[in-house]
Amino acid sequence: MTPAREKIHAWVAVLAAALAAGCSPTKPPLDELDAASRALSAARQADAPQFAAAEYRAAGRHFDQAQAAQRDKDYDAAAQFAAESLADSELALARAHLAKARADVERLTRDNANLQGDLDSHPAALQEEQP
Amino acid sequence: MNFARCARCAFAFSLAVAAADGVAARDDDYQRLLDRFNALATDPVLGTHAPVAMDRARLALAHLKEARRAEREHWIYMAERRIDSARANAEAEALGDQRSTLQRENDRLQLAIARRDAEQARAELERQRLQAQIRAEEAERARRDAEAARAEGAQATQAAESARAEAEQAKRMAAAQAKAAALAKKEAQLEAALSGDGSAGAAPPKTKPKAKPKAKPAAPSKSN
Repeated sequence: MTPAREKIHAWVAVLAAALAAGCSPTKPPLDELDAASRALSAARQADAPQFAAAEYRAAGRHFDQAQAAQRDKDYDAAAQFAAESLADSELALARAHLAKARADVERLTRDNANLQGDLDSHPAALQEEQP
Repeated sequence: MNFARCARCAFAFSLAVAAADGVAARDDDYQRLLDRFNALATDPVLGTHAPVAMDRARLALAHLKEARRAEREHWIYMAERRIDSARANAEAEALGDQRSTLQRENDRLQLAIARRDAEQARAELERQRLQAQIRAEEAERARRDAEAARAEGAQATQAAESARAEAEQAKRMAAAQAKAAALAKKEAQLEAALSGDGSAGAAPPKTKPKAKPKAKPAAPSKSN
């Protein structure tokens, strides 16, 4: 191997090492995992397991994968899984809110129809009884 | 030498084709998600809701557009989730507006029913008050009638009593008159008998001897 080639290989190795160091996180994504954990709790408290079961399960699965990746010191993957878990939890929360709002609208619509029917059928029943 | 050059050219060409396919696929995913997002953002009802979630979806799309190959799957997933979240949030907000409108309507209806019930209760109370008043007037009238009847009864009793007393008095008077008449008759008979005897023997009529005067009382005693 000529000296010129050795120099080139050395630069390539340095460049690859620099790229690897620059592209992967150097520390565990604790903030991302914490945010994902809090979002998961918020979704659970908003009854997401009942109203958005699939999204809530995906959030839990991605959170587990994030924790596993962190244990393996694959911080890049851990950050990605944590971000996906966060997005899943927020979607589950939004769908739980949506389901509750829809149930409220249906209940109020039904109640209002009953109340209106009551008013229409008995506008002043006693006055009719009076002579 | 020529073969090696041709092989390198073919390899470079296949890489270029693969890269072009990758770029095309990337553009397809990006375009599909961008269309979904644009459909949501331009929706006349939903497009005005959930601005924060919309911004997150927009940001995820921007990341997807600039993503490296290794991160593409991640950003496709993120963009899909963010767009779904934006839609769910926008729908929930729109339903929240509808819920507020329905709740106001519900409050209005409940108020109308409460007013109607209160009005009915007032009318019922008035009706019962009138009935009580009628009953009280009837009772007062009955009491006055009974009072009048009692008074009439007392008067009748008193009149009967008076009549009885008058009859008694008349009976006594009649008895006295009868007695007087009998005495007068007897006196007349006696006088007639005496006058018959006088003319025969001129004997003075037999009179009852006068009672001797009582002895004079002793000297008046000192009054105490």
